[in-house]
Amino acid sequence: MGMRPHLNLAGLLACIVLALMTRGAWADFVVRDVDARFVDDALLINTTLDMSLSARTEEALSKGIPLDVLIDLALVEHRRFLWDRVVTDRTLHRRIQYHALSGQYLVSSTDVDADDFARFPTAQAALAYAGALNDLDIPLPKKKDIDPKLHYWLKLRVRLDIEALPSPLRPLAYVTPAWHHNTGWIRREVER
Amino acid sequence: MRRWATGIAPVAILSLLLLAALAMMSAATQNSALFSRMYSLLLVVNILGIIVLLALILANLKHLATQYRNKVMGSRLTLRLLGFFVLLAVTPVTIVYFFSIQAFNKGIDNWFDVKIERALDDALSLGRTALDAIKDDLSKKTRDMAFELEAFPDKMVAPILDDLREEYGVTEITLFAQDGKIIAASSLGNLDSKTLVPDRPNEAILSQARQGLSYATIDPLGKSGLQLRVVAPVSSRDVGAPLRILQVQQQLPDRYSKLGESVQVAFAEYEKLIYLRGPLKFGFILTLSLVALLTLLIAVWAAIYSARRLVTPLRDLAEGTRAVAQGNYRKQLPVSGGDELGILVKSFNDMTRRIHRAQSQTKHSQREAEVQRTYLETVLTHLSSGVLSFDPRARLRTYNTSAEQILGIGLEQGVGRSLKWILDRQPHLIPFVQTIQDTTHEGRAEWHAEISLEGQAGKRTLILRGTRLPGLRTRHGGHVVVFDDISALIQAQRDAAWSEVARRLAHEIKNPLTPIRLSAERIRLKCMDGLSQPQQETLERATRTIVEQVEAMKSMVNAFSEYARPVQIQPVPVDLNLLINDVVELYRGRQNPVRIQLNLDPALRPITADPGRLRQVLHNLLLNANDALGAIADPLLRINTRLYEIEGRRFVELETHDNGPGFAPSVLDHLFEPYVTTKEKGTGLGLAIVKKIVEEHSGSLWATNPAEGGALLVIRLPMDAVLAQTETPGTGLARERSA
Repeated sequence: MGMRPHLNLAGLLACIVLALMTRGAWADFVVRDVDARFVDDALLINTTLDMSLSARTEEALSKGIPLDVLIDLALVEHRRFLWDRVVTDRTLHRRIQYHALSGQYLVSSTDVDADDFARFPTAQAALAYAGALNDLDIPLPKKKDIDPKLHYWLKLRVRLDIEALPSPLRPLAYVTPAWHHNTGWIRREVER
Repeated sequence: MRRWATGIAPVAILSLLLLAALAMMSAATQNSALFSRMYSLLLVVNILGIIVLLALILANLKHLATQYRNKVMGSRLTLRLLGFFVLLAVTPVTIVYFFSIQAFNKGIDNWFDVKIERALDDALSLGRTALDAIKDDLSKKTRDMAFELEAFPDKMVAPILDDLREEYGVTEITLFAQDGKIIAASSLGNLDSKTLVPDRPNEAILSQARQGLSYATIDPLGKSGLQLRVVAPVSSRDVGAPLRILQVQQQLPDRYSKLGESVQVAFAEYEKLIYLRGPLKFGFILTLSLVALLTLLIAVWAAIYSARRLVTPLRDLAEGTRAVAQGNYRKQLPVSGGDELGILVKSFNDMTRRIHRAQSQTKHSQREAEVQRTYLETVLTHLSSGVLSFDPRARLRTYNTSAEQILGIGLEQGVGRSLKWILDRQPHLIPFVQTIQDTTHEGRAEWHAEISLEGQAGKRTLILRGTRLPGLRTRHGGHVVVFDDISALIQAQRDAAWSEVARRLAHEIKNPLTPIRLSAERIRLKCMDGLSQPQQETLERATRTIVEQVEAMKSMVNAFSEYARPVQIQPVPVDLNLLINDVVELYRGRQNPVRIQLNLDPALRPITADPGRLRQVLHNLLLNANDALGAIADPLLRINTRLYEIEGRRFVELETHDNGPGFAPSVLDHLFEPYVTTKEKGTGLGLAIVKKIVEEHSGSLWATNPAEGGALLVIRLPMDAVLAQTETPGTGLARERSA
């Protein structure tokens, strides 16, 4: 009986430390100001992704390790009695890497052309650029897929792709919270 | 499931798969493009595989431990072998593992050299310095171009830009308005063919330019190499005119670009490698550890399998020998292979097969012997002759029921004991025992003897035949003695003779008696008148004597007729005590001097008998006693009845014991034969008839002179008598002789 309060206290402390390690102690990706609306046959998205890197990932970036950021987008139809239906989904790839000779951070979209990149003198500027989704236009498969009577949600997730890291780094990245940059799924209702 | 867990094939396949996965993982650690994407999956697969293998091994070890605790045959040896094999496998793997770790660490550290690192840093600095010189030159040119453009309004700058580009030899010139809109641009035709739109500087650069500051940078262009970009403000000479922004871009010559890119790539790779040194070590050590662990587990598994495989035939053999020790000769063991153990198992199987065959034959022989013994026993049991067999040391070995009946002793306890045991219980069997002892001692192969026994039931005659039994080798195998009680036979012969005498007497004597009597009476009648008085008296006396004697002879002949008469008994339930009381009352009623004392057993129950014949028996006995006690001062006759049981059979015993002189020793042996009498007027048939009637009722009787004096006559009648059937006197004898 005497041990139980100590155990409870220890468990609570462990939870707090873990929470601090996974959230507070490390910078993370945050999704801000999501604006999603239907425009004609497309879904128009405007959002700002605040992608702050932890010291460890920033160090890796500065040492030439390219970081791949995956932005998962899904348009889901809310159904009252059934699970939600995914109308369409897309994953955007952003790669951020450091160019030592020019001292610039390059941001490329691996979806389009890896050689077509934007250059920034700082990592923060590069991340801000990578996280700015302005007037992102996702075409809808069919117009009739959108029922005006129903509610639609945009599901959004931004994460660092550990699988894109060099293989020796992956086991450590999987077990180190500093490498876990993931917003988790965020839902926003799509405006009409 | 158990077979799956203990079989060699699944684990071998799992091990091979894991080794392959580890090989791929090792390749992935070295940045192999083929397996790099699968690295995490391979890692997970390997860890899961190792967990499965570990679980299998633990399950096997637990199974072995359980067997050890339960003291299962072979578990101790299996564990010992397992420990030995594991030690053999683990030691080298552990040593190799630790040395490999050391080698890995040193090897990876050796990749990195301070000099190379510095050289690369220097190369990068050199490259930057060289590029910075070009950049500074372009910055100066840009400022000059901006100065020249100050004088031209927006509408006129387009041709000026072309001129300036050609004059300064730059790749692209673009003039932006303050808000970033393009006013005019000039570029080499083959440049920026993708968009046809000049590359616009980002907002931060534009903002810097608006503040009157220049901006110069080197832009990597991917595969196209490097490009210099300088952004500078263009002031207007007109007062109030807005600031414009000039961007000049110049692609570096191929040689510069390639050299720069080469330095950049080498530096970046080396930096990356330095950064990845820790994770790389971790990755290699992880792979090596997994390989070592997998090797260890496979070795442990192989040890378990080998130990089990080695021990299985030994355990089977141990179980087999235990089964054989417990009498299971059918035990056959699975033959594991052609090695020495296999040969041993085959030999064991041969041995058990032969033992089983021999045992089956023995059992068969035993069964046959048992059948023979049962047959012999049945024959012996139903044999009317008594049979006793003795071992070479003259101890009783077998006997039959008839022997028990004839000797009047239960022989079950006597098996394995000497003849003295019989003698201790039945002392009157001295002649019987003595004869057997004498003859066996003499060692005669066959012998024959006739002996007489004096027992409670009277004198009996036994005829004995002995034979020496064959024995093993030269030793003799004991004796068998067959004997018969021929008393009844002798008695029957004697009775038959007497019956014949009686019948002849009746026939030869009775017939002339009537003419003799009639003739005597006629002589008296005819001759009486002519004779004198004295003569008449003489005649009268003589004829009377003749008549009386004829009558006496007639009655004697009648008695003989009665004796010879065939059995005609009519059995009904009779209360013997009541009958005795009735008859004795008759004798008490007369003025009889003999005092009769009755001692009747109240527990007596009715017996099945002919009351008339029994009444005659009692009359004869009482008359006999009266005659015998005539000269005694205080004549006393005691009549006793009692009920008793011998070997499950119940009898009623009737005793008459007087205080007279007892039977004459000369007649005692032939007391119940006809004509044996000590009385002057006796016919000598009284006791013979008594005996006849008793035997008709399947009873027995004997007479003795007890030590306390007087004469004792005992009649023993069975309670549930099997009455003698109606027969002629010669054969009307009791078939059974009770003890």
